[in-house]
Amino acid sequence: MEIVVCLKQVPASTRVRLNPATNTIVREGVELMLNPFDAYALEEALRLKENFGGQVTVLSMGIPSAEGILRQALGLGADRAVLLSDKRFAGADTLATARTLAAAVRKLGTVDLLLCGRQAVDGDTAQVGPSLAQKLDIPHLSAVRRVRLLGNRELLCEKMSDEGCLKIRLGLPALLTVVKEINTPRFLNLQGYLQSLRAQVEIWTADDLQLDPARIGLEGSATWVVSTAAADRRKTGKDIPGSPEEAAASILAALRQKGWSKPEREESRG
Amino acid sequence: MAEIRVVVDNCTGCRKCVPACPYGAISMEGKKARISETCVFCGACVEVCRFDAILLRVEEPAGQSEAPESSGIWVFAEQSEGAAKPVALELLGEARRLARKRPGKVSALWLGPEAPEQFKKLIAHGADEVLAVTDERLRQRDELLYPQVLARLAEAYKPEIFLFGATGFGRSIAPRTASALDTGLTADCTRLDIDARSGLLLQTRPAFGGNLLATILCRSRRPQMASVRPKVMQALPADDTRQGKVRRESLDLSDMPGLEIVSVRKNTQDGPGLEGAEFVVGIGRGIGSARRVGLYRQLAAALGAGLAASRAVVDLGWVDYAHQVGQTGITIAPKVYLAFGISGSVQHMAGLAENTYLIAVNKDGNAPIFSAADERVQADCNEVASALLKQVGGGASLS
Ligand SMILES: Cc1cc2nc3c(=O)[nH]c(=O)nc-3n(C[C@H](O)[C@H](O)[C@H](O)COP(=O)(O)OP(=O)(O)OC[C@H]3O[C@@H](n4cnc5c(N)ncnc54)[C@H](O)[C@@H]3O)c2cc1C
Ligand SMILES: Nc1ncnc2c1ncn2[C@@H]1O[C@H](COP(=O)(O)O)[C@@H](O)[C@H]1O
Repeated sequence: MEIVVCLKQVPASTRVRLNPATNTIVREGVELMLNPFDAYALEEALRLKENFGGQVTVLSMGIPSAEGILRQALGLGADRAVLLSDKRFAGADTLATARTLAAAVRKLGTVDLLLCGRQAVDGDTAQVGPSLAQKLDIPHLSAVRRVRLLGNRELLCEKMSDEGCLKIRLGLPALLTVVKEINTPRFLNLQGYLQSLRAQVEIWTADDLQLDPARIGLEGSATWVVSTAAADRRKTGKDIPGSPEEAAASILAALRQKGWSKPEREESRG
Repeated sequence: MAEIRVVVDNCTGCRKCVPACPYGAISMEGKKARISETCVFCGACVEVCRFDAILLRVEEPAGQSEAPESSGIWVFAEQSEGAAKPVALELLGEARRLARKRPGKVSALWLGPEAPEQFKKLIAHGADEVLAVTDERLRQRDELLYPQVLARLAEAYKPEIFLFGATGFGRSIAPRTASALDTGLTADCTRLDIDARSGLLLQTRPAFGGNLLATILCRSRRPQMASVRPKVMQALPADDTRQGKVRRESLDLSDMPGLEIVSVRKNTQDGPGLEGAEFVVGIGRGIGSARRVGLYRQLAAALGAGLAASRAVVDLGWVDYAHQVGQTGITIAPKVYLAFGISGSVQHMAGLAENTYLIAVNKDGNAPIFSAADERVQADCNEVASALLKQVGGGASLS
């Protein structure tokens, strides 16, 4: 089975502090890492390969340093890595990203299964997977938590839905976005690490994909960020001073005022 | 093309732009700002720079800036077992509000079984018309089939705006539909508005990382698509005197492939009962350790309240994901939210309705949550929670 896993590099620190003196945000470190959800996609691909044979290609669009996450994936067992890196890709929204990834998948040739993370933790859109599947004109399932191979051209997938879970038979080729519940990703061992140092990452540019510059990057994006503003939910609230007991009494009074009353029967501790 | 450049001679190394970048694309190199390729050219840095040291040039591609003809606001009225989901009514309320600024028809898109009562309900909540495709194949929501139907309809009728509820299903079909229409989509908007000058849809969502909101436009493609989480917008009260049309679309679905769903299992009702709770106790990293969770569980039980948590608490494994409130968790709209040891990041606040009465307990007087709070308690949250539990009368078993 030919499997392609889409990996995205994201900033490692999502933790931000507010500098009380200046009221601005302090971001600690701008280290980059593999999008955590994508690790599950990669792990699933490696397991499918180990059980049923085939080849795993990891694919990422990003800045040159994204080579790091691809190298890591090669160390973990992926067979081939392609980085789409070109200044002209910069500023892509999910639509332009999907278009670019789709062009790369086509260039790779036969692909049976594409795996993506459920979402990238930097933007949290969860859009690239479904959007990419559409561009390739193949079905997709989102939030998949279990995959079984039926024969060799069909999958039985279990996915989370709003009300519970669904089991779906899905012919290949197809794209899945996976959730954390699907597996436990392996760690890079020393041998893998050493292998990753020597591994080759292919770099493809817009020219390699024969993409029209007007269809990629910021220029090819349908959405544009026009402004950013500090979140403003400012309320003129009041301070509740005093000891913890006094504060608790005020809170209780406020709750009562908002219609709270002591429940008849307490629920047991759960 | 877009181009961004640091004018090295002007840059004083003041670092103001570093935290201003919502994408973490700016770093300092040898006392000068350096912009990496993760930049999306939003211009936040240009605005904060007092030395004109950052030059941004964004040219709209020629010939593409003219948006195609389109009109009206569409709302995807997601159904489950033949009943419209509440988020559909919320979006209709928002669509009406938008239609005041951008006059046009508000249409509810119904894919599912025949449901005249539901159509009335959609109209009573603000739809001018219901566009219904009532094929039996659409009874079960299908991630593959629905986008094809929606794209076909949008191609035929050319709506200007198309809104989706960001449910699990909505988040799967909206991007696929947008991709089929080759247009933009902004996920999880917390605010929508119409730009008075251009008439464009202003789509606002939390930006990466900071306490920042990004406003996003879709200039030249139509429809302008956005998704909104449940409970973020307000439904209008039902008005049964409202008039509206039901237009049945007889589409031929035979050439549209669908999924082969072999089984459906529903969750048993053992969740935290958080989504509908009128009172909610929220816990953040500030409670200190997993051992403290028990205190808050007791407090929530004694109050008959739901238990919510920040992502930090969920990531630490102190409570499970079903309790997470925020951009990546659920959205809640209780009467009162008691926040204990939560800093109040935009991502967390994105999960809390604006009209909720917020009482925040935090030991840091500068915690961002205080600026959004109706009542501020600057104190140790565990002490306050213990005292509250005692006063409510549920603390007997607490050692
Ligand atoms: C894309 C993205 C999506 C995200 N989605 C979500 C989401 O859905 N939900 C969410 O919650 N977060 C989300 N986050 C994370 C979010 O940015 C914050 O990191 C998180 O909400 C912080 O949780 P916290 O307030 O518990 O922890 P902290 O920010 O560490 O705050 C702890 C607070 O407790 C206070 N404190 C400490 N000790 C005490 C004490 N003894 N008594 C009283 N107060 C005390 C501190 O002053 C501080 O204000 C997301 C982040 C990103 C990048
Ligand atoms: N630039 C990218 N390169 C490769 N894969 C990506 C990229 N952006 C997104 N993806 C994939 O799409 C998933 C969802 O991302 P997003 O839509 O950004 O939340 C990620 O988990 C990745 O698998």
